[in-house]
Formats: sequence, C-alpha cells, structure tokens
Amino acid sequence: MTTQTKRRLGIVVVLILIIGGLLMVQRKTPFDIFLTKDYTVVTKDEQIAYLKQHEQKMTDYVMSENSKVTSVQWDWDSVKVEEVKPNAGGFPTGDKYNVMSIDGRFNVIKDSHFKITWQLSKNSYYPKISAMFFTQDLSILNNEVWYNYD
Amino acid sequence: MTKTNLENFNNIYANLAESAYTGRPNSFPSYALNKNPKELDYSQNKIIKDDKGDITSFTKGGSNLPEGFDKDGNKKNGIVYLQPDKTLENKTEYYIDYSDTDFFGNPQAKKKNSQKGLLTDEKAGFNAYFIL
Repeated sequence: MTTQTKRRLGIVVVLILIIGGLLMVQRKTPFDIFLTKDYTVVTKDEQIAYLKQHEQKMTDYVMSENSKVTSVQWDWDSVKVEEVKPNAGGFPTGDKYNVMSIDGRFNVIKDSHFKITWQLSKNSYYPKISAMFFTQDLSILNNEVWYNYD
Repeated sequence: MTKTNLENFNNIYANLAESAYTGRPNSFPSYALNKNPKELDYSQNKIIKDDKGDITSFTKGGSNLPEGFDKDGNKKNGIVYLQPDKTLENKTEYYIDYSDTDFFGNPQAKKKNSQKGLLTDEKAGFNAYFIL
C-alpha cells in the first residue's frame, strides 16, 4: 500500500464519518427508528392495533355466543392489561399472570355491554386471539339494572 | 399450583364466596365498577381459558338453587343481583416518596388515588359485596 492510497483511504474514512454524522443529526435515514423507538416496550396503541387486525375473529366469537347478536361494536379505548394474583380463598397462591380485556357493545344498543378477556403468556404483550372468553356476559341495561341478554 | 374452581354451581353459598375473588367464574371485582345492579345467573355454565386457549375451568350451571326473579319478574333459580356501592368516592392523597429523589436529592411529592365507600376501602385493602 503506497502512501497515496493510505492518504486517500484516510480522507474517505473521514468523509464517511462526517456525512454519517450529518445524516444522524438530521434524522433522515431509514435507520432512525432504531434511535427514537424502544422496541423492547410494547405500547398500548400497538396492542390495540393487534386486536384490530383480528377484529373479525373476535366479532365471530361474540356472535357465536348468542344467535341474536348480529353486530358488535368494540370499545377500543377500553383495552386494559391487569395483573391477577391467583388465590385460594384469599390466600395468595401460584404465580401472578396478566390478563387483557376489552369491552364492547352489540346490536347498536347504547346500553349494552360485555367484556372478553385473554390470559397473556409470561413476558408476552400480545394475546392468542382464539384464547378469548367472556368475563362479563352479554347484558343490557333495563330499568337501571344490567340484565343478561337472551 | 393453579387455581381450582368449583366444578358446579350447585351450592349458592360456595358460588358467592368463590366469585368474591378475581379470576374466578362470575368474578364480582370485575363488575364492581358498574353503577347499576348486575344480574348474575348461576344456572349457566361458565368457562375460563388459559393463555393457550385451553379451557382450564369449566363450571357447570347449578341445579336446585334458591329462587330468584329474572327481568320479566318470572321465578328462576340461581339468579342474584350484585349491587353497586353507591357511597363509593374517589379520594386523593399526597405523600412524600423518600425513595424517589430528584437531581438535588430532594424527596418527591406523589399523588395517590384510592376509593372509599361503605363496602370498599382500597387503602385498607377491604372489599365487600352486597348481593340481593
């Protein structure tokens, strides 16, 4: 390697560093997302987006519960993840686990309500959609009392 | 050890005791935020699934349960109404968190919300349910 090649190589490396530095400062490269976003944390919006992708499956499940349910209106803002501590008659037992739940209404009835829940696997932020079940039955408000829908 | 739920809802007292806890069939805590009474039917089957979708708990609807009334006023067995706690109030408390300090080492003032009513005292960890 001649001195001239070494010098050229040096200049090229310095130029690459300067251009790279400028690009990084301006945040215009396709890789910026790795600098600004923490991929280890799943946000609630991403969880809601995941559920929205599987909306049809969820709706089908609710409709299969009662043949009179013809449409389902999901309350996407109600998505919630809660920690459950298993207990035996009040005494804590076993490992804690997380559950995700979502509320909904059906048949475009204003005062209708149900809640379906998923148990989340350990260290998982997204549920297995087919693992859903009802924690609050299909019910409608009638004379200020929530009655089961049948 | 996983939780073991009742196999059937045949004993109304056992049903109500079980439902007082989270993660159980007809769990009251999940309904407790309702502003209105909620009908619960213990003559119906209830399932709970795990994270893989397998049914971990199947509770068969009870038979020979005490009489209740459904929405049309007809007699039906196994119906109870979970009543809301109308005295429930949100309380805000401020406290000083000595474990969390700022840059200069000053402890931080923190806000804590809790609910208190006749049947609930979140701060004391007390919860009761009124069934009719």
